[in-house]
Amino acid sequence: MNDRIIKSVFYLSLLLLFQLIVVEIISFKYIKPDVLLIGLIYFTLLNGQILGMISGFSFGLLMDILSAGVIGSNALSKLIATFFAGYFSREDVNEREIISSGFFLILFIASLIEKFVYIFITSNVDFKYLLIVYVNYGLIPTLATMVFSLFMLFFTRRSEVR
Amino acid sequence: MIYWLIRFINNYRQYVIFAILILFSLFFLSLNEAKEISNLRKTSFIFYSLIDYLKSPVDDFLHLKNEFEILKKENTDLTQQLLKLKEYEKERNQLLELLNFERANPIKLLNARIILKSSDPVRNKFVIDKGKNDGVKLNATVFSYSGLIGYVSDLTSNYSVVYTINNLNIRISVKNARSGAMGILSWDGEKFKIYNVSKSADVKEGDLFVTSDFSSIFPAGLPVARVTYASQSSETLFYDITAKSECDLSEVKFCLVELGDLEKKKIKFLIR
Repeated sequence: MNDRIIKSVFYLSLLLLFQLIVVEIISFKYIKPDVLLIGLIYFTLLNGQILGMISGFSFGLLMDILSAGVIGSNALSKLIATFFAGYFSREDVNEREIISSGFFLILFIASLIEKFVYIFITSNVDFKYLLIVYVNYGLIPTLATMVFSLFMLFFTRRSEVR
Repeated sequence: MIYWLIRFINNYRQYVIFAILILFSLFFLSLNEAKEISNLRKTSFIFYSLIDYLKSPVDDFLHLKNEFEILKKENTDLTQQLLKLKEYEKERNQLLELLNFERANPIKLLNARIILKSSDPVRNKFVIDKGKNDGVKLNATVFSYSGLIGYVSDLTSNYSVVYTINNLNIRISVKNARSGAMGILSWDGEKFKIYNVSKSADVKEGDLFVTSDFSSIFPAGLPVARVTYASQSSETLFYDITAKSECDLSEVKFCLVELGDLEKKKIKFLIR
């Protein structure tokens, strides 16, 4: 159990670095996947709601500090996303079963929630433009995250086959 | 009582932890303007320098030809503008002499390269390769030869973060360069809108809006956005105006940073 958590924290740290460096380079306009969120939701489903929330808050806070963002914004939005995802975690689940037990749907909804909370707490956007903002900064990055999670799944499967 | 409390925490521990972490997040959110937090934010520059290090050789290799074409075009445009400006300067100096006015000092500018563009609903930002060591100051205006880009919000010795004008939380006081109609420019998440322009004012599609004298950050007269749609059909007393940024923020690769002290300029302007 402890080994698994240490391993997960290491992978989450790598994903955080990937998000801060590589995603910043490859992102284009609104197309900006949140690879850290993919890792956090996976971690939550694997390790339960409480550990998921703590990791969501901690890595969100680290991301805020390291990306010159609004301190506390990613911490809060990722905390709420992992809190939601935590309801679908099971104690007896293993790494293979997570993907087949609705991971993509949970990730999709969690990402939408995360983006909504982030936009809501950080911007004083006019109500009549909320939909445009939410599509550009909520839905499009969420779809990019979904596509990226498929890539990640593909590479994970390939490395498992090898 | 304590027994009951322990039992409650044990039964609902996920909610208790959730509530505590939410309180922590709100606490951090409330601290954002504190100086210690802004110092903490400077750790992000480590990543910017890393991105610069990783990206520059690839960028240079891939975009060299394209950049050369852009710079060639910019150079031609600037030469034309320079010729015009030389003519205007001659005329202006003659008029100033006639009116016995004080000559203003030319603005000092610094050329910088944009090394990172980051999209975020609140803080769309560029990172440029010039910082304190080059004379850049906080809140310095950043623009390209075509128009306003934004202002310096954070800086270290070698890098600066520029908040671009396409941010949901930025409002810029602008005026129509042709008719002088005043308004407030803001970004709605997809396009620029200009508010508070009275229906009695003269505004047409294609009009250029520049920064006004009332701006607290930007110097007056910088091109900001061009009107793409102006309608009086709304039920309010104001125009419904949509505009397009004069500077193509997605394409721009180099920028100019103003090195003058804006505060001093403002005070001087007010005294005069």
